[in-house]
Amino acid sequence: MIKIEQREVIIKIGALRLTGRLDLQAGPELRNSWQQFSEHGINSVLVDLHQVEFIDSVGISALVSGLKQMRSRGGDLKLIGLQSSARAIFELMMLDKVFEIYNSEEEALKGILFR
Amino acid sequence: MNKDNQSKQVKNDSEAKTPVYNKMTQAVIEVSLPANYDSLPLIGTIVREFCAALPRFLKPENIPDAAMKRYRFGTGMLKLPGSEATITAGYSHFVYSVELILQEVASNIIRHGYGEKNPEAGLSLTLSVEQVNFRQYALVVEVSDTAPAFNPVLSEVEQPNPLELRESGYGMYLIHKLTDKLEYSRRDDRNYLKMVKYFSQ
Repeated sequence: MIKIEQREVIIKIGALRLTGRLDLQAGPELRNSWQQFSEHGINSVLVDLHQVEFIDSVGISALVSGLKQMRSRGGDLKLIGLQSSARAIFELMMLDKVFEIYNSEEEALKGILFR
Repeated sequence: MNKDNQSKQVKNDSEAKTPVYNKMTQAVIEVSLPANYDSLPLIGTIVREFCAALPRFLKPENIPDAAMKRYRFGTGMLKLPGSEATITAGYSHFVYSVELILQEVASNIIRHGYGEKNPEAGLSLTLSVEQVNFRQYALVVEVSDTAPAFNPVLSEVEQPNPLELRESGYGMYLIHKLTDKLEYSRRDDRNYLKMVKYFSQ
């Protein structure tokens, strides 16, 4: 005889899709998103950058800030679809060593769930 | 012979409108802009349009197809792991780098130079191309402003340790790292910052 208790586990993962320029003006808005996720108890976030054509140092700082906040709460922040020129800049700053960068949302989700 | 093909190639690579510097031996553009954040995307557009004209400026119609592929824009930025250093990749990284350098410089001027509270403040931008020798060219960008004297060349340029997850200090490092030559001068109460990036054919 076995007792089977079935239930559903819900894990909250935040997802952002950004479009346009992640620059000086967008940086503060992005930081605001981390705050909102945190208020909703979300500490793992996927950031889709497929449609982001340009990232400056303020944008980089905002992403680093998000990564720091999520990791400090036991979660993580994954980047998806970082465009090649921006990726070259990440590599130049060696930030590809601290950010996990994926090609698709599916891969990034696996990265969060099965790490 | 391949004139049409080559033009198309240039167009596709840069997604640009018909370049206007076709037969010129030197391309120069000078722009004065209000020193506020709204100017930043415009600076980006100016850089991209100017750079889009560069392959045409270098007269690709005079160069056989094979040689066209040997254009090298930038040095370290070309070879990404797992990707080939084609004109497309190299060229777009080159343009991206120039845009990034200028965004960082302009942001610094607006934020720190003028302190964000000077609606009358302006900055001037000059882009030009110089032929250094038979194969090498220099893209020369000069930015000038009337903010208090500040010499970015003397700024600290230590690479931020990625593991520290710093939330600032990336801009100045990028400016130094992405330029091949950086020169500052102060004349007539203006800051002049000259940035050079080489490319060759």
